[in-house]
Amino acid sequence: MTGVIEKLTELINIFTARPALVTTVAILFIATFLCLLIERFSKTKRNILAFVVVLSALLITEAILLISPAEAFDPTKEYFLFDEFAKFFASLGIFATLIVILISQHYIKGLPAIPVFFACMTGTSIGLILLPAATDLITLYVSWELLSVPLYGLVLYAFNWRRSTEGALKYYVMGATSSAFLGLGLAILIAISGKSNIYMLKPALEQALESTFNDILLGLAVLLLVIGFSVKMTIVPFHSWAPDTYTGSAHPVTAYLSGTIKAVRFAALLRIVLMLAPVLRISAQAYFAILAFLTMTYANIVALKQRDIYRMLAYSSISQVGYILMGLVAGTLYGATAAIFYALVFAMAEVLVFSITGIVWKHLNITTIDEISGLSSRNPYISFVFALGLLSLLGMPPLAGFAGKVYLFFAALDANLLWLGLALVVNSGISAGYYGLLVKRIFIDEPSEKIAKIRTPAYVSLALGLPTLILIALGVYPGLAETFARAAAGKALIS
Amino acid sequence: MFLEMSWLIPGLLFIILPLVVILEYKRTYLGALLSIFAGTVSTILSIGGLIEILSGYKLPPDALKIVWLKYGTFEVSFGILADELSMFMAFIVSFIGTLILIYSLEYMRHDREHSVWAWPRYFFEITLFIAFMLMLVLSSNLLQLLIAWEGVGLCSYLLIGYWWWKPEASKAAKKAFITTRIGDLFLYLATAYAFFVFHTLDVAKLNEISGSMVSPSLGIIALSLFGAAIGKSAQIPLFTWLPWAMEGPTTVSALIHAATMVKAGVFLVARFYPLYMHAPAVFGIEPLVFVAYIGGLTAAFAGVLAVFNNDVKGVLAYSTISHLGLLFLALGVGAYTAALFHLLNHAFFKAGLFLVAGSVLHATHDLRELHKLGGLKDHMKWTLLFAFIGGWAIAGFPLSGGFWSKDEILIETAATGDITLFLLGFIAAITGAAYTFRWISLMFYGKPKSKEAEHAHEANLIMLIPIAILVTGAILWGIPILHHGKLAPIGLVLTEQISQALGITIHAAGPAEKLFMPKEVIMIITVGVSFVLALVMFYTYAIKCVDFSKHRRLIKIQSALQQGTIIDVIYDKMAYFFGTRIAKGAATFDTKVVDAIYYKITYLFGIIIAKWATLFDINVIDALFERTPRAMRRLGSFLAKIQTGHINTYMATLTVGIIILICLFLGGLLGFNLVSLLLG
Repeated sequence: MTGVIEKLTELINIFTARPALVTTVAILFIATFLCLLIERFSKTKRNILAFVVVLSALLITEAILLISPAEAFDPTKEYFLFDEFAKFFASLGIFATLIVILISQHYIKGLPAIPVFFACMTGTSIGLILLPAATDLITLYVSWELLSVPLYGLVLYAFNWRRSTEGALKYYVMGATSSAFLGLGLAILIAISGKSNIYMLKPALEQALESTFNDILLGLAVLLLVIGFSVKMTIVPFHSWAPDTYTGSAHPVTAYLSGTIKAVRFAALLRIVLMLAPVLRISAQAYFAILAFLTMTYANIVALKQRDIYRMLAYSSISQVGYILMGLVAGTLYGATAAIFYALVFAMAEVLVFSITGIVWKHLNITTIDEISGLSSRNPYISFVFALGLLSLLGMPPLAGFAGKVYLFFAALDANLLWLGLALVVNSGISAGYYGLLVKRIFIDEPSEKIAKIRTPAYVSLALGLPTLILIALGVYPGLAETFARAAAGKALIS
Repeated sequence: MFLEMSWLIPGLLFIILPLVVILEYKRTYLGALLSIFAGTVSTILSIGGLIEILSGYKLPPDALKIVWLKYGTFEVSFGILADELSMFMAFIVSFIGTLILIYSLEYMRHDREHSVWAWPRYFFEITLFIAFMLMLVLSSNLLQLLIAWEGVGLCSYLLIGYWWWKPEASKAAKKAFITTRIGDLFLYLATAYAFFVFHTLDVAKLNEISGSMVSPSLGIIALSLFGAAIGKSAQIPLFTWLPWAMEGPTTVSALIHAATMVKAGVFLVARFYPLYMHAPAVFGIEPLVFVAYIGGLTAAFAGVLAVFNNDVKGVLAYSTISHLGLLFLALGVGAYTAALFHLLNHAFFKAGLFLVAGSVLHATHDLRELHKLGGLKDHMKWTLLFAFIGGWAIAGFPLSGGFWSKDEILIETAATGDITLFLLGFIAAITGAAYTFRWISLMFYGKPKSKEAEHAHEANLIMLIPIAILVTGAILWGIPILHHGKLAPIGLVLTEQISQALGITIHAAGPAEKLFMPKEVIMIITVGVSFVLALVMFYTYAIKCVDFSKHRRLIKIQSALQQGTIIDVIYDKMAYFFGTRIAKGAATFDTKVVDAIYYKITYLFGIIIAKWATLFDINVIDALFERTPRAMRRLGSFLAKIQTGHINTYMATLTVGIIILICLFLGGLLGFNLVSLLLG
């Protein structure tokens, strides 16, 4: 009996020493549960209760994440560690979720099973918090999947039954395939090293690598990992599900899926790859160098051809991953900082542009770039915010995208990757072809007959304004986020 | 206290910009008043800062600097360099800018009815213009200076073309923009070169480094900087845009010519003066001597052109070019103090006179031909008085600031022993009296020669008070006070302190030695000749009332000299010649002028050039700007075909990806390490 009590107090001690993760996950879990209950017992269709529950849960979570100091436990003894790295990505993820929730509340009005939609959102946000905090291969894998499962549901949440089902199915099949690769890769890693903690991998592997067989096996493991990560990160040529899934799901879901989720998944990628880099003969970065180039070039060129705004932005979101990967490829502190900074900027801009695409579609049924021409004549605020998001993705000074690209470019130069840096510049030029066209259509061209005044509630304007403010503020003074990104990068690079 | 807040001098103006537009769009006067308020705050801060810094208080270096982007040793920062020169310039810009903003309230009133966007646009652009100029003078590094420089250029383009319903205005705006851009290229060159040679763009550091090294790079940087100054400050050969720039509202002309844009070039040379002092000759060109000669030539040439000009604002435009030339002449011969002093005087009297011109134009509904005016003295007594005071200063007559500063420049020029330079300066000085008094006589005396002139009316107080303050200032700087036991004008005492604090104490090689005549004689001759010329002009046009529009020959000379004609025509021809039809142009030219052989050679030559040009055009330019995007699109549509929508295809592409990676992996194992090659 006393043994049990001792074990219990020990457990409680462990929990109370790590308040940030425990409380936030608990809150989000309870919110998810409440949403499901509300769905079961509520009589009305338009249920505001679920929205209030989710919104307050997320607000509290974000507040806790922001005010909790980063924990400084020994990472080799932890399964989840709330360090600067985790703090940066988790608060970024939850902030974006908040915005998506606000947009969704407006967007999904009148659709069935709204509480379930919100439940899936909070379920995903648990993954958003846990994934960047995972310091163990197994917990990392579990969090990776935790992030995926509710997303299948979210993608399925219809705005167009046929396309949504198709998108969700593709996402599921490709996702499952990638999970297999990822799982196998991680299994081999654990088998060779005998350790599952990321921070203990390096010494263990160094020892194991004395045999040639292990060396080849490790190479194979890295190969599998790269494939496993690449599918969900929409890295070309593993991206093929993405355009269909993005355009098949409700716009707020895509706003979430295309930016925030990928940014947080990138966190996991960064932790593992940077940790493994010194041990490997052909490091994962080498693969990613080629894949980054392919990703940005391919997606940008295909996007040039698209006439559907939604699809064009889907490809643009793929191409942006190529830019982020550059920082990973560089592998230095500068590179990691640049990539983390750009991940933040990218997530904000994606949330912004997809949300607006959704609002414009919802109200005016506009899908192509010809139909959107002259949007600014009736909707100056939305057009302005949209243009800022697009121009930030393009990398126009003084927006945050520009600062991010400058960091990435110098990181590439610093790591003797001039060709990759030039690829970034050339690709920004190519992408100007479609971002610029869209901005021109919105602001300069004559209004099409579909243009009318869009009336949105104040909270939608607020939700659009916040990421815009961040894009402007970080563009004017990138140092605001750069210091945090640097601290986070420092945590990922310890070896 | 003021110095710590000096970032607010440009900052405040930038911050209020959106509010100005919104408030003006709502058709309240609050937007305009807000920008006037911000201008006033800037003025107070810069005066306070100037007093503070002259009393010996200094900020630590880099106190007002934020790093925008930092990458290893490479950093892009924004900062305020609050030293004596920059605060002095900030005072001039903000003070005159604010007065012009006040004046605009009345002057631009008609435009308010013209369009809802007229006032928001005007006040946005002019406030932005002042803000950029303040940022320019307070910049602590070259990159920031470059941004502000471009900003000033952009705003001047927008403001010159402000009356968008007039075709000449937009033409003039383009001309100004393109011409100054040629100069801007040199600033890019200087910035890039300075960065590669010295690895820093910090203004103070560049000046410091230049003191301790001898390198031809310094000369190249100095000359490039001066190239930029030539464009912005309208010197030979890039001066033709300035007379054209008169198409903008007069307030804009006043701002461009008196306080801001054209002073940017002079400021640039003054800012990097330590660098100029140490800069060695490049290709046998001594930077400072070059500056002096270009300045001197421009001063004399533009001065003569001004006498023959027939436009209310054109006279002032050429006068500005002439005075800027004089400033460069002063800087070139080492008369730093005198240059600063003259800059101060010129800012005040030229702004004052432009506003006088503005109130004349306001009264006569924009009638700009001088020979159609006349007789305004009966209607506009106050304006006449202010024109006289301003004219007194610009002509350099005793008791005005202009008298002292012109005199100082001439003496120091003479002290170099270079008679050519002295004569150029002398011509500039005496023509000043001639064109000013011709201008005043033609406008205000004689009989009114048009309806508009007959029905002129006096401007109201909102316009008169700024003029009064400005022309008073022009006189005020010349009031002598006792300083260290010597009588010296206030402005000179101020500028002497500034140049001493900056550590620039060189004068021309010892005034007494090479001076070919005593100082007093120079002074008396200059003032005497000026006075006689002024009287002649006054007698001809005010008392005898000669109507020069009836003298055909005079008109011919005038029309030939107007608008900087000769050079302008050459530019136009050159652009036409090189730009459009080099082959055909060459061919026709040759049939008429040269004999057949020569004709044939040239013809062939022309054809070949044309062919090459066409080939180049089709193969390179087209390929770059048309075919590449087209090819990209085609590639895009090809690649889009892969996106079939079938999940089997997707799995296939995934497999292709896996195969590629496995190949790379196996290649790595076998020693063919492509990826490591890429990683460097």
